[in-house]
Amino acid sequence: MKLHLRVWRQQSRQSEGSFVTYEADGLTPNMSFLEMLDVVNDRLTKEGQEPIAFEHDCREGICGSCAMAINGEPHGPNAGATTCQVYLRSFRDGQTLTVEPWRAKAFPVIKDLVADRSAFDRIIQSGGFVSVGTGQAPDANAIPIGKGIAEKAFDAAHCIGCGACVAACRNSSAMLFVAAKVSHLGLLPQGQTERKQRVQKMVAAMDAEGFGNCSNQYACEAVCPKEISVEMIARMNRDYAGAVVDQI
Amino acid sequence: MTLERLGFETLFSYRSGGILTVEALESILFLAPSLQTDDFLMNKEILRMIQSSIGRKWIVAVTGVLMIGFVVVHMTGNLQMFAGTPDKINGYAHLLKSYPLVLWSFRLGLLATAALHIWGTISLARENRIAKPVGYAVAGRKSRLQVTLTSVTMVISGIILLGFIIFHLLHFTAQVVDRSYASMETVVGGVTMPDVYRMVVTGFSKPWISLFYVVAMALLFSHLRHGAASVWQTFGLRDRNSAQFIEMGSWILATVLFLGFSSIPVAVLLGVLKL
Amino acid sequence: MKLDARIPAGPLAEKWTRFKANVRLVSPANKRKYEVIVVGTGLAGASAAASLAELGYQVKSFCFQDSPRRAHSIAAQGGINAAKNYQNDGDSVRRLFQDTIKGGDFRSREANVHRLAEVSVNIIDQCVAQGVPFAREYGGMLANRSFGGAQVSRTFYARGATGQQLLLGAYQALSRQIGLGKVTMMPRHEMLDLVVEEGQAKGIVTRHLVTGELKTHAADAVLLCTGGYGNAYYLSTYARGSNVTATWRAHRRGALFSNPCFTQIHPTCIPVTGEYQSKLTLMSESLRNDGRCWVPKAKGEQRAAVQIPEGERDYFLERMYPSYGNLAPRDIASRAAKRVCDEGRGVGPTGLGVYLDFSEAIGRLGEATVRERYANLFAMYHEITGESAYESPMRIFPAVHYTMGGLWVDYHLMSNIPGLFVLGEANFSDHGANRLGASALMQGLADGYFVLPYTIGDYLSQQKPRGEKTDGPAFQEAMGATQARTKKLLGVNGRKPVSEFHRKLGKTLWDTCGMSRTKKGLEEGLAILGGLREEFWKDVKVPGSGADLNQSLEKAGRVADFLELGELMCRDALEREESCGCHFREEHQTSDGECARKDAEHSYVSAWEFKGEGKSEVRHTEPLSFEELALATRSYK
Ligand SMILES: Cc1cc2nc3c(=O)[nH]c(=O)nc-3n(C[C@H](O)[C@H](O)[C@H](O)COP(=O)(O)OP(=O)(O)OC[C@H]3O[C@@H](n4cnc5c(N)ncnc54)[C@H](O)[C@@H]3O)c2cc1C
Ligand code: HEM
Ligand code: SF4
Ligand code: FES
Repeated sequence: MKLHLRVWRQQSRQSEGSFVTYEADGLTPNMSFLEMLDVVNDRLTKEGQEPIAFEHDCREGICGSCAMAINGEPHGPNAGATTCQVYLRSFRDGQTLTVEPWRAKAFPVIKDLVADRSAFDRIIQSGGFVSVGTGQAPDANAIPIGKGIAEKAFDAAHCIGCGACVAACRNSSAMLFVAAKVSHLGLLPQGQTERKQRVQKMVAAMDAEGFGNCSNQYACEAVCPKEISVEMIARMNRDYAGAVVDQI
Repeated sequence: MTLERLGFETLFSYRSGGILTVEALESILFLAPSLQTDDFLMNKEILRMIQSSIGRKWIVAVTGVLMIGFVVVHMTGNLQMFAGTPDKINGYAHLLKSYPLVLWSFRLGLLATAALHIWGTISLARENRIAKPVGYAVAGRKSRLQVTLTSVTMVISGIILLGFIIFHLLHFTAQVVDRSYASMETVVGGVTMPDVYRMVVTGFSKPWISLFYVVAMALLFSHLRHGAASVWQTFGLRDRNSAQFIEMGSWILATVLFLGFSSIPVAVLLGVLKL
Repeated sequence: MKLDARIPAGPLAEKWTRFKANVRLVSPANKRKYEVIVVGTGLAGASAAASLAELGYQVKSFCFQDSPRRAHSIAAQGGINAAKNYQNDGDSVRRLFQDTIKGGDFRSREANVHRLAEVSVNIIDQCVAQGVPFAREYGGMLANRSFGGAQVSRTFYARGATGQQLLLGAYQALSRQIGLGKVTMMPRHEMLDLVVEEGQAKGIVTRHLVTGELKTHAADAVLLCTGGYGNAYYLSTYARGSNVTATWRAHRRGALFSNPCFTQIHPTCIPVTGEYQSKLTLMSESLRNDGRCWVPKAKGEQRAAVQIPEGERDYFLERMYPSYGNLAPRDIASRAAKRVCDEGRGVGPTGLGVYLDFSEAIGRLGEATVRERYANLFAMYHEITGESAYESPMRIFPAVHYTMGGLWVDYHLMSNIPGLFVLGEANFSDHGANRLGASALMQGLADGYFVLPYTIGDYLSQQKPRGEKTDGPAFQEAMGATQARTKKLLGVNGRKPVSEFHRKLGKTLWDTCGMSRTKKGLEEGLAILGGLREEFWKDVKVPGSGADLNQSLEKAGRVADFLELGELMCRDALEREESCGCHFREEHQTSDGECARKDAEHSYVSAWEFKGEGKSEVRHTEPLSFEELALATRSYK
């Protein structure tokens, strides 16, 4: 199997980037997309060129490192999958693939396909936690939590912080990411005490990072590898209004 | 005022794209007694929260709903054109005009609503543009990215609607498009009143005016197809189960409004409504 | 060298309590004068950094990923053990302790393991309080599942993403401290050397992976929480970035490396499909709760799995280990799978695979229940192989999964270099020659939340705060050495990409120091690795410069260290003339092919000392004594 690649190459944060074309040959459908890039990179190395920089670590869809748009689609063509979970059987032999880094002002490109997503960490630092110090916890079964609530909280907590939601959004909005954390903690009894403060601080941090605003088109949900529902955004909108009312 | 408050005060930063500054909003809202507390800083915080992305989303949605309410009432009123007698709609117009205080509060309220709606949407849209300086070289499939025509054209449909609203006001309210409207009067039950029926039929007899109205209503359809569904999400009332009903509801609302409003110019052109 | 594990006196069950009662403390006002460097943000590192900052220490935290949340711990699937006995099925601290010692085939320290079992219960409390969404029963209480090597249900889980949820809990606790300004977080920093000043660990050298800047950082103590080294085998279930560099560099600075040959091979992974393969994917051990392992009875069977009649299937684990059946511990299950494949009864295109069959469970529980339990794992399997495990059995094969070996530490989790503490998978301490499923997460969090915060005080209370100055000769020397090494890697300018050396190293280790080992094989392995290391430094190609993001350079440094480690692994395996746990020396087996331990000669922890470039390492031993549990032959039959 063979693919034509158009890959975004950019030397550094400051420099201009451009597309470079590579031919990838001798591929098999069972190969993963990243394994294909490995093969191309080994070839580039042998030819004395710098390999394509891209982020990856777990290669099983959980660490959230891998991040690239394939033909304008963050994480590629399949629903519910990260880039590292894309296998070449999803493409046609001879297809042209355009590979780009996440595009968003809040995620500046560092090199080639690597973007800086530290804005997400700063949002969590602003309030995405329960303030409980080590050693302060009561017995785990002292707080019964309904199975339904626990499952729903898990659905939200499953976010891997990959940033595909931002990458897919026309406005580079981070609402799905932020809402996932706000909902995860806001659903659980442990998160109630700080619920209003949390949403207030996290939204302020999100705004300060230069993400855009939600215009309710739900591209985020469609590309989210963990299929986090935009219900979480609705919930955050509600919580936020609650926090405003609380101020009054 | 607690120290903690002061602490996260610094965490808040001003939004770059906002057209109204916090200070400006503050001076407007400072006059509103309900927002005044002894704690000045707290006030500022509420203002900041209202100015935040989500705060402005709420403003857009609330004002959007108010305007939807208005257009629904407006359309219902207009449909009295089909009552069989011009007296019905003329009487209605007369009734409205006989309470100038109520009428003007309504008009001012609507103006403020529209102004807030536009301030909110335009400032959000400006930030959105800044937030996505570069798009992808290849556009992803629409099916994968949930792209719909009505949702990506909200700004444009909104702006054209604004143009339309101005024209509409100049046309029938200020009557500058056709000076002759001002002199159209009729006597119903011994009372002299403006002849709205005649004005409308005369107005829509010009095909370009009718066409413009119908096109504008198509844009209203487009705006509300997305907008009326959006508000549920903004208000936090949309979930997996309700989503399909909400989408359907917005289609129905937008369609009814389109048909209701457009029926009048179309009926005039077709000669169903005539003098 | 005499290795003193500093185990507190007293009866086993009271050691930790006594230790805590007598430990020297740093006063609250003084804590902020001490700087602590924490390398790694996995379960061990994130929990330690957060807890130390909460106590008031000044913490600097490092990881090589772009965010602390992406540490390899994120990928753990199955669960975490704790002796809560919420199921009322006879569990207790004592039983968890026993299971862990026995599971580790009596090659771990009783005192450490008992402490681990004791604090396991606090971990669950802490995590729940943080908002970790563990699985629940309908009544709202925590649910449990069973894992290999235990006859009780003590594993807490969050669907198939327990590690993710636990790590996010720790990451959030860490983030809170970063937000409060108590932790300085330095992501995209790779530790390349340890600074030892007057015999004590006082700092590290890092490379900023984006700017390439090399920098020294000083502190009063250094914590290495840098995970395991299973990627030495190239193909493994580890994240691709996992590496040995931090601990290996510390080893070269004098820290002893213990039991390097103890590598866990996990029985249930998706088999290799081709040469290009970059990693192996684990199918959680929890699958063995309902899946049954089998191979055809006949060699060279050609029929599809579903067409092979019941009578012609060999449910080998149930046959060999009737009392634990499919839940036999990992080393045993893996070796059994290898054995049936060696007999020519393996399945799949390569013959290296066995079936894991759910048809019986689907019949018994219904597809809906099976789906509810394992849907995400089945989906993952489908994604990778294109096959549905609801219709035909999964194909699985063992893969490298965890390393029990690591830097030697005492009861305080301090290495032989004072001030250098090692936590989590990076140390050797608790799992002996085989780790039980769901115990690594437990150990990482135990070390970080509940052990180190006590033990570090004992050390720091005896130190004067050193301040942040990094101008001493030790710092300059370490900096110089790192610069030279980076330059050397870039300067080889050979022909082969790093991955070629890594693959060859991996294959050699897998063949000679993998699931079963022989003297001859290990000696051959050593010879190959020696040559490979030389070739690496002559022929590796590292394009680009050291002054920006250069992933080839990162990989080259890591593989260079793996190459050295690989040799040590083989030597350790060679000198341990017995079989125990994961370490199966074919020369030492019972008549029915099980491990033959030699307690009289080999009941020890090996601890290797680096003697300098080109010199062979020296092995020290810490004898293990078993006071509470009688040394017994493990039996899961
Ligand atoms: C697929 C899989 C599933 C697993 N499932 C389970 C399970 O269900 N239950 C269980 O108990 N265990 C499980 N394990 C084992 C368990 O996940 C690990 O042993 C454990 O998470 C290790 O945690 P750690 O904190 O010690 O290290 P890691 O999580 O590996 O973290 C290492 C950290 O060190 C940093 N680091 C490393 N080197 C450097 C360097 N040179 N410079 C700077 N930073 C560095 C990294 O950035 C990272 O932050 C599983 C393992 C795998 C591979
Ligand atoms: C006057 C000119 C108008 C402009 C410039 C305008 C602009 C916009 C824009 C850009 C949005 C999208 C906001 C977003 O997606 O985030 C929007 C939303 C909306 N508009 Fe308008 N609009 C106008 C008039 C109207 C009118 C007349 C109505 C009602 C009849 C209306 C109802 C709505 C509604 C309900 C929404 C959805 C709010 C939400 O996102 O929750 N708009 N408008
Ligand atoms: S919400 Fe989904 S797309 Fe966004 S960061 Fe989380 S996992 Fe990625
Ligand atoms: S590499 Fe971890 S999610 Fe893709």
